[in-house]
Amino acid sequence: MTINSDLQKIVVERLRRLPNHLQISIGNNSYTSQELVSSVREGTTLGQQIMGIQLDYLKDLASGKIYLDE
Amino acid sequence: MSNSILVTRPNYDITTNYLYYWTEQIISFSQKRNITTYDLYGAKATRTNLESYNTKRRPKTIFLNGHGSSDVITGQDDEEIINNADKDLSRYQNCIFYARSCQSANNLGVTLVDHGASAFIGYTEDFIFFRNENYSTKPLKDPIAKHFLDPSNLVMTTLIKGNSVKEADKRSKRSMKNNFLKLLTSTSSTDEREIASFLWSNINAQVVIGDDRASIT
Repeated sequence: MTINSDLQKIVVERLRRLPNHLQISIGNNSYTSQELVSSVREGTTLGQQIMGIQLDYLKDLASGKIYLDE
Repeated sequence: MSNSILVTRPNYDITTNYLYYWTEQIISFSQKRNITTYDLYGAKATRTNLESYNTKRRPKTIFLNGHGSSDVITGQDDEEIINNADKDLSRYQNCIFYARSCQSANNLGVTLVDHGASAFIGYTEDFIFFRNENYSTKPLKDPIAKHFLDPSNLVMTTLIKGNSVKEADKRSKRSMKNNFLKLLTSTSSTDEREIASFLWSNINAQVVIGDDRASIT
């Protein structure tokens, strides 16, 4: 098991919690939560971008950066 | 150079439709303060109009909404209205830009400032927002999109009030951070908690290039 595949599982589980009525506008397109999950599972460019966003967030959450003042 | 604002807000897909309507608030706010506001909306959001209005009206502030990349911001129907490779970017000398567009702070913003623009507020990554599809026909009432678009509007309202670019960036980020922390609280529904990480991305991606003391007045 690689760190990447672990992260992929975590991200998929997080995205699966998004309800169906939410859509994301990112880049030049709009996606449903199911499409986000598929993109991460398939490792598409969008999926990798989402993984990067989630990894940055989880790192900042772990370091406490998100609670720091400006 | 006049103390006026030039706005582009194309409207041809769901993303630009949301930005189109959320930008109306800025136009109203600006007009209420008696600031001349040139509104290039929908099919008027073209390169020809942007350049023409800039040349003839010399607005101090340019607020661009639309799709983009590191090098380009688009107008109606994906027309490139400004490109990092344009030879005459010095036409925007002394302007303050806010680009609600993906990634344009990477190259385009830097080049504009190199060519004499006062300041550029934009994003080094994609500008992201979530929306509730049940509100597609009434974007301004979308409570999910509000978490993302209210703080970005704050960049412009802070500038219009005469504050500096630095203050506009600071207030916008503070508002994003407040929304972010609210989303993480236990009072938020599960769906709202999960979108917080994407708001965090916008906070980190918003940057100021150039003179952060610049202001409209």
